[in-house]
Amino acid sequence: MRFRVWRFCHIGLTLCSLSAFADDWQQFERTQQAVRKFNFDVSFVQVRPNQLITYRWLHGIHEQSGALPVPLELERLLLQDGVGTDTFRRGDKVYYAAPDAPVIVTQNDSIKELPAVLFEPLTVIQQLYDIVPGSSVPLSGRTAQLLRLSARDASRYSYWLWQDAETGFPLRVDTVDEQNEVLDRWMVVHLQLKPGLPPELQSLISAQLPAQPHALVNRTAPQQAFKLNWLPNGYQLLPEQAPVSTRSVPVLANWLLSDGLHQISVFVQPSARLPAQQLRDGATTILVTTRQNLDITVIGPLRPELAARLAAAVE
Amino acid sequence: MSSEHQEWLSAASDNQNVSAEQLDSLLSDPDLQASWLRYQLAGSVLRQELAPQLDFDFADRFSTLLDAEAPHQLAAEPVPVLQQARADAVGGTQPAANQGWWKMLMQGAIAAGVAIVAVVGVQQSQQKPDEALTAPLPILQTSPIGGVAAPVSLSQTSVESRFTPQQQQQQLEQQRRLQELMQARQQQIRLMEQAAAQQAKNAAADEGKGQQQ
Repeated sequence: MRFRVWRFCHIGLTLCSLSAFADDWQQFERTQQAVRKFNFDVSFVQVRPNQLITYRWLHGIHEQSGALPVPLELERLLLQDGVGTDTFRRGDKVYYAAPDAPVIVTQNDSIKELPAVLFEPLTVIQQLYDIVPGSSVPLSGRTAQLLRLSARDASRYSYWLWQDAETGFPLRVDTVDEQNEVLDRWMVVHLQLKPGLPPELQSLISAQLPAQPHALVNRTAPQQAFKLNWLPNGYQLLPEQAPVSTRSVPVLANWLLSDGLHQISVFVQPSARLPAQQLRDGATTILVTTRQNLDITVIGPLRPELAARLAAAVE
Repeated sequence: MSSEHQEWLSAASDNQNVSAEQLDSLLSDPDLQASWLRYQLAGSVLRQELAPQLDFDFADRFSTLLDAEAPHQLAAEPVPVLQQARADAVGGTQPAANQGWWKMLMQGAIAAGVAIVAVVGVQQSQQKPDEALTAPLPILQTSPIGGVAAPVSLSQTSVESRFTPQQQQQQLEQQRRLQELMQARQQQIRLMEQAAAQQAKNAAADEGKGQQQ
């Protein structure tokens, strides 16, 4: 009898925790939808060591007129201070307009310079992270609820996301390492939700932009000379590895690894007899190792130890 | 003042009804007014409403004082008076002034101490979460935004003069290479995106064909 009571309790608790879990993911989904569905004019800062960059980020939905109205997403990301690349998105095409350079077009339904965790499919994120709700704190006088996306694999960095309790809009995203030290901070400093399309995006509806992405470079890249014999947990080698071109030093082999959310690049180049180096740009580690007559460079959001292991896995 | 009077007066001071004659007598009889005041005072004391050391005769005494005072000399010159007062203060109270100076200094020192503690405390408490942002690993100055990375201006790279020219050359070389690789990485990612998008498109097209058939 007692056993049965316990079992009931146990089942009840499990159900409770499961539903709580689903609720937390729902909360997270609210944030993902907020950045897709709202019309807004936002300023945010990207804080990295010795570096603070301010951006303006506009987003709106244009209801196309026609027999079958399809809402069209318009987005723009630009530096608030100084001259740099102006990034636009119209539907599933992203345009990069830099001064003194032709406009580059890519096919993507999000701007990848924004935190990927806000845009990638929930199923991908759920495979890599557990969600843990935290306390709510005031941010800019609004109540912000902390959602921790804690990495299932301890070698991976985690995300701490603060969402506006009222609208679900993301207010801050911290990338933290396993000691919960902040590597990279993305923080909204000004948020204005608008009833309709922001006027700054009006011209983008009909702007003449290059129609097609640049043709893909021919994809014959036999990289028989080298191979990778180890991959970090959760990452996969992309099936199609295209050669890349550099101006000065040729690249003998290159790989791109992806876990659906992040990308790691590995390059093999003839050695230039430069010292080994380990650098960090926010959460991105850049590791240069020298072996025999080769330089191996690993760039990606992974811990320096793992980057070193990945560099050593090149054969 | 009879006890009869006192009864209705006492009742009246407890907010009971008063007749018109009683009110008239209260307004005309100073004795009754005095006892009314006493009742109110007693009531206030009992209800603990009384401000400490309330002086009812204050206004009277002040007017007597005013009457007693000699008429003021409006024609007096203010300037010599002021000068005299200042001379007095300097001459007679020099040790006190000295003491004041010392006291101010001490107060200043204590305030500064508190400020230092506060600043140090704030700094320490602020350093904690941001320590990782000033992590030991050196930082690469990359272009701020994805698209087309404007190469780091080589003339601007801060190569410190304590390095030999050869080392400087090496560092520049290294930086240039990393910059190129960062661009190559962007190229890679863009190609990946595009390939994924094309695959999705092809898959959608295949599906469409399947439905048509």
